[in-house]
Amino acid sequence: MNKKEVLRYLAAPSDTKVLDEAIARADTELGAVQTPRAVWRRFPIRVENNSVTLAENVIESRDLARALTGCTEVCLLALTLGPGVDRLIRKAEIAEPPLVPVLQAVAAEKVEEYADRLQETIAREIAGEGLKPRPRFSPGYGDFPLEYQKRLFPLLEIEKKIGVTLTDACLMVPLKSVTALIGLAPEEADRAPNRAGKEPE
Amino acid sequence: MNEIESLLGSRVLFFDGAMGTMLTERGLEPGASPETRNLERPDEILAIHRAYLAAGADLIKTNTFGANRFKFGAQAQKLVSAGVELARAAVRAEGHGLVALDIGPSGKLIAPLGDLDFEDAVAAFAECVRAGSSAGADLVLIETMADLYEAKAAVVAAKENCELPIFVSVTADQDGKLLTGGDLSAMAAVLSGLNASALGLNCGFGPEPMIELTRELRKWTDLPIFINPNAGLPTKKDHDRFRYDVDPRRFADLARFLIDAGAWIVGGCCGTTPEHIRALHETLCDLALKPIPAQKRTVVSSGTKSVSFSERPVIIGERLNPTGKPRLKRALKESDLSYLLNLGLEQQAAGADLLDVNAGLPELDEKRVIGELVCELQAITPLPLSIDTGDPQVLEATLRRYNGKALINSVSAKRASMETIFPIARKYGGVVVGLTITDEGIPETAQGRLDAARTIVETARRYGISENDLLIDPLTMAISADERAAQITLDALKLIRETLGVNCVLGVSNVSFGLPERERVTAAFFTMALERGLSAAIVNPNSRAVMSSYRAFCALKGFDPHCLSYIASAAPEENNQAPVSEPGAVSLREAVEKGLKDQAFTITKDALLRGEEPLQLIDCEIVSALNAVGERFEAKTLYLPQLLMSAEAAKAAFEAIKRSLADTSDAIKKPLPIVLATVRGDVHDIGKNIVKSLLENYGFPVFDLGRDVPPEKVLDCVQKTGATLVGLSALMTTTLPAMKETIELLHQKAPGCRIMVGGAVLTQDYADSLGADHYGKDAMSAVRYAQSLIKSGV
Repeated sequence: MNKKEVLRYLAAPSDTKVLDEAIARADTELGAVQTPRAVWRRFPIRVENNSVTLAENVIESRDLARALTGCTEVCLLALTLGPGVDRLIRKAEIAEPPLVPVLQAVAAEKVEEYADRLQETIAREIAGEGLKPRPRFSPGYGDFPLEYQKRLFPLLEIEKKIGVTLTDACLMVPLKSVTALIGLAPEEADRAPNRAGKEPE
Repeated sequence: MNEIESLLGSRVLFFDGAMGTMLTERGLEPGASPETRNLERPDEILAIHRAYLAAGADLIKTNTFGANRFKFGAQAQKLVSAGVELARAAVRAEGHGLVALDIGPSGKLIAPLGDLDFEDAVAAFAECVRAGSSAGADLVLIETMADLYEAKAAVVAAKENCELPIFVSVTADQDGKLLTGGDLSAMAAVLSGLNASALGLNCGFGPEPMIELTRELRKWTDLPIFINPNAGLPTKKDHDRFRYDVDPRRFADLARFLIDAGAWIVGGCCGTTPEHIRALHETLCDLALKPIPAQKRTVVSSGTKSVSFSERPVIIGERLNPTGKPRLKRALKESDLSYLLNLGLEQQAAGADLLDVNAGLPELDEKRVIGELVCELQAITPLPLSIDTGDPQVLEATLRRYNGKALINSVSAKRASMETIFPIARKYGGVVVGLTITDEGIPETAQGRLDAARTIVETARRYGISENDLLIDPLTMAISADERAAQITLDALKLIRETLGVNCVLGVSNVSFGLPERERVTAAFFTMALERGLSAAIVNPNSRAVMSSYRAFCALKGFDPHCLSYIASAAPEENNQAPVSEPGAVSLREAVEKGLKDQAFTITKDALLRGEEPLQLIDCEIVSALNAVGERFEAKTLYLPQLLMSAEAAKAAFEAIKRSLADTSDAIKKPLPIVLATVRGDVHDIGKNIVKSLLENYGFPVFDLGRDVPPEKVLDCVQKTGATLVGLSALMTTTLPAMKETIELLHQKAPGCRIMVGGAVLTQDYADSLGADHYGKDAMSAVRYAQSLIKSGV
């Protein structure tokens, strides 16, 4: 695990013995309760100036369109660390509040790393076709409204396949879950990838 | 008898296969809703149903899997009616078959983990059930459930809105785990308890892994089993067309093993076609069904974990009961949830298998308090709960919303008690504790208690409750009042176990009431009772003596493989020889600064015993330590986890003071009640909870409204508590409008109230534009603001 990232999430510029032990414990405890699951699938897309069309859904988002410029397909990815992580954090809120920010930070890093690993798997899958993946782009980034979660969920049957549900406000439960579009562009057509912003957690 | 019920068990029955797969072949786009085709292309649906019936299906699933109000709003019922009518038409045309009203998951997660209220889930399912049953369904099929709580909501809706048999299937991974973490033993306990007609598995990873899972499910239920697997796993042939890898021939060959494992009905889920069903029919129609073995297990469960009373004796933690516990009484009155929940977690850590929950105080709204406590406990502990109340209305309300199959504490052999409690138990499921008390009182002989037990067992049976779902309590009485008391109880226990075979429970600690060194007597009595076949005991799991006897008994009886539990529990005793804190080694101030929770508690307790003034300790030691730590946090020489550790140590010190003060707790509370909430629509409440624990540890009374809180509820709480400070949090940009709305409402209706806001997306500018009085950039900032308000006399 990338401990530097965890410390960054904790806004702790340097390491201490106390933090070190807490991070190790959080890592072990999360490891024991997490049930990572993922589902992904490729879709052809049409990218215009301010919109992207994906399986008959028109997504109005200039930032997304920009991030997918030059792509002919996307891989729609959904993943979760599972409900055990939510339960563990809730339990710690009662039994051991000091561990909560640490669990939170380690879980956030685990989600990122899991997503990175899946992205590598996807990259290998498509390498033979002369395609290259772009950085992940999620609903909520830039001007890509969260409301589109409602359209993305049925495309992968996300609830049924990995047990992630949406609240009325389009937030995902379990909380440690990600949906993302990964642009797939022909290798030669690809320029320097756009930097995607991160969700604030 | 319903037609399906008379058919069940007569021969192998067949469900149909997939609807979605067939529609995809006919051009249904990914993400599009199959259900709307009931109205748009009814002929297509009719043709698919007919193809399945012609292939040999006995039961067809209506095309209504996702036809609920969350996906289709007001159109849902129309889609359900149309779906059932199409299936009926197919049955008429083919001249055979039964129609299963198909109900899939809502797509939402029920609170406390999600944002859907349990009753809203019931109401949504009820709509489907009413529409489907009046359109002529023969049974209700609740399928692909991943959450037992949601499955319960659907079954309750079906029971309350139709008379049809209810089939329920879940989807599980290869290890038999549901997506929300439950397993098949918990599933069987909950759904058998709710009186489903048949249980099953569907979807998943194909027929092969389901064979073992069918065997496992067979162990836990005496209901008929149906299995609808996928046609293996999808493999990608091209970009957007999935193919499943198990062909009809192989599907049918594998399904043979499903029948062998105990399934009575088989069919298909994703990827299966009429060809799969035809192959099933040809291969399996003449196979003999396996008889259902009689169940002899007594099982309770939460939403994720079951506990069986028929193997190792079970420990039921008794601590969440205010009788004789002033500190707990106060926590209940003040809705001090974190104290209460910690009592639960402590018992879990000490080895409890179940937690008894009792909130019976005369001055308390018991229904509300126990409901809230049960809900919050279930969010943080997998242990099943025992609902302990004397009020049948409270029992019914609590059992209805309980996630799992609870222990019901209790019924007696009095006629009136049985008449009120058994119907509730029958409706919601549960294992009932039966006290051997008759209308004449407590029988004074073992034979008398056996007779009372027999009355309970026989009456329960008349209500459809088997002895598997009873735990008889032969009653522990104090030997200080009558020296024969223990002997009568033990004799009664043995007699009941031998004569009726039913499982037994005792609250053991009562035996030593009025004696010195109570734990020794209690522990000895406990061992004697265990040896006479006690299945469960309601005890204090924090009592070392009691738990040592228990663990020794389990090791001696072979319930503890390689004595591992015994060894594990014995180890800390050695380590604990050294005192937790060496007196004088650290001061209270240091303990708080270093975040040493146990020391802070012990040092404070000792200081109070020496006669030191509580207020002196608070001001000179605890608060000054907290301030020092706060400054270091602000100077970034110490980080949030350490700040919280100090806060926890301060809390432990306050706890010691609270206990010593009994009723003068107001002395240590600051005069600034604070209301906290994560705004409507937002479920990310971790930041808010950190602020809460910090504020509490600085001595502020906090009213925490939780997450996803509507503006009106915040206002209501402010008005009720007279709070002058409100803290609101929001993590997502999408929920900031709700924050703004809340602030505007408060400004308008509670003008004296200050509002502080925080959360990842907020900035000072944004907070200003929302009209907040303070922007908290971190948790400490909230504390500082609250302190400044006190100083300025708000």
